[in-house]
Amino acid sequence: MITLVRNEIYKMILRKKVILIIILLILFVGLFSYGENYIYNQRINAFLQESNQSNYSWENIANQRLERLKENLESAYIPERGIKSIEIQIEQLEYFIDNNINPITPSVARFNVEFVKQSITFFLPLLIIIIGADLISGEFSEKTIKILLTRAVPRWKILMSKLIALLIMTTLIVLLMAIISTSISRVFINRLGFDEPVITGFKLVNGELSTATVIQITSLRYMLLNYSLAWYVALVMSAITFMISVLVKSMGSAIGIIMASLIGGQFLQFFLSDWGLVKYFYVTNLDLTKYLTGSYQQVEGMNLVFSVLVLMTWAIISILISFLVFSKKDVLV
Amino acid sequence: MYRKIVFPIVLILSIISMVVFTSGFIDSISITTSNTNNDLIAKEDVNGNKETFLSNDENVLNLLILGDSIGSGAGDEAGKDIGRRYGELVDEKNEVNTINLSISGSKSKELLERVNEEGYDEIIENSDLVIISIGGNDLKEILDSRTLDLFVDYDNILLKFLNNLESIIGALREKNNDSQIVYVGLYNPYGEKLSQEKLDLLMDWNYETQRQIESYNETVYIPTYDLFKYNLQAYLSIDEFHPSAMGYDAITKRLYNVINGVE
Repeated sequence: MITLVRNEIYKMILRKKVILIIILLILFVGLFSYGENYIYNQRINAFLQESNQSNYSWENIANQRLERLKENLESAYIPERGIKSIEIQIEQLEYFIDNNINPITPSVARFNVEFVKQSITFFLPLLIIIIGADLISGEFSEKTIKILLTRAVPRWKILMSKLIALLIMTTLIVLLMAIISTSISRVFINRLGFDEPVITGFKLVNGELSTATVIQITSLRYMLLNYSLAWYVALVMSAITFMISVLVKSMGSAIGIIMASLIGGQFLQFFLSDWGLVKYFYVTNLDLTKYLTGSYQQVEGMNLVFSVLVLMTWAIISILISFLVFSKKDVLV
Repeated sequence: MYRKIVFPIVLILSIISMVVFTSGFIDSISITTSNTNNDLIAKEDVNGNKETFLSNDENVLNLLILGDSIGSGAGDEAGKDIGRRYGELVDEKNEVNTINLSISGSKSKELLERVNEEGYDEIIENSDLVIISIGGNDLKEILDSRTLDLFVDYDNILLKFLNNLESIIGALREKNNDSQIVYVGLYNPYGEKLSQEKLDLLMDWNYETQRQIESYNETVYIPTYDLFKYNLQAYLSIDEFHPSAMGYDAITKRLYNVINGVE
């Protein structure tokens, strides 16, 4: 079994797909981080021109805000839940001021989080498709399936080794994504910012954003949370890609089908608020990172656990179908 | 040689990352599912202030807030609502006693049902100032929807809303003819993301509401659209929909100035 997995991994690496993925990642990360820095500089310039000041002082704004928050805290009118959120904000601001950190300047940690958020619904699935779409269909189109199946190994073992290899490579891709976006963005962005505090843990209660459970964590941990969710999405995408690759004989149509479902799924989200069924489609649930930021959601009942379960169901069913079909399939080459 | 090294490295790297990612994954689930304890804030407020509210002391201004999430103070980082902020503006002269009956997500129909409930009769009878924030959720349904018959839907919902509003004010007046009623108008939380077509609907909605509000005695419409227009960044809370502490502050100050004059 382990020999089979090893062979599959060599096949994937030798097909130079990994190099394509690395090039794509470097290209995109380079462009995005350069763009972010560029826009930031432009904004500062615009601000300086408008306000006729010689330098941009964020400390004054932060200090002013801090004092207002402290006044608020002393007021007797604040309920318990408000106090917690204010305390976190004060802590965060004090940290920024004490450590001379400008909360507006871009940092590598913040770039990483932003990059994951932007890529989780499309770019990351695309990378998985690149590596996974020809996994089985490629064997058909290159007619190597004959050689593979004439070995004295049961079919399910062959398929299983391919699946394990794909999951391993998927994990590596997410790791690569983290490494590349950290190192490349460091070229354009001067601050690492891994130990800066971030607030998370927002929750939707009765259709309202609740700040009662908000907690403060470091940027590094927040980054890890985002990458972990991206990894989960990548695993689910690889399971779905795997199934399509088993069902379809040519690699082109495998890529076509998955891309179409991704793009079509984005369109379907327009109906999300009116058509309840849409929330059980996998594309609707891909954007797991939005649950960490608490950005405003329209649909009641959709939370992280819900989306994770829906995605898991899709992944498990995909793998089941793959094995059922592959072990019964007539191979005519 | 090359082949021998690659596989163990790939395997070890992926196993390590799998462990790390799994822990991060579990971490993020536990963070987003931790328990809250702030259900039904509005109810606590009723119990806390009701006795003093009903005692109807002449030196105390009894302030009643009715409506939706904006009435309840959603998004306010300081955890105050309009009532508490209003109280801070006037409390040098006399005391303000607030009851907040707002429930997040309310539409005009639900507010009408609430106003007609017998349990609230006494509160309404004893209130001196009533602040109403309603309609946002009625209109939001249209602004968020992608139906083709935008205008047909809009006309229907506006008509229903105006009818409900009339019944709400009617019910309030039936129980209390002297209180000052203030209606808080709608702002545009979407900024330039809102299409011109929908912005027109919002303006029309506010206009029709104001027309109706101004036809009652001792009732005033407070616009908020202009307040938010150039200050979205500062006045919207992190959810990009509800007002922030600064936003509530701005609304309350305008409200205060309208009722008490500019000092």
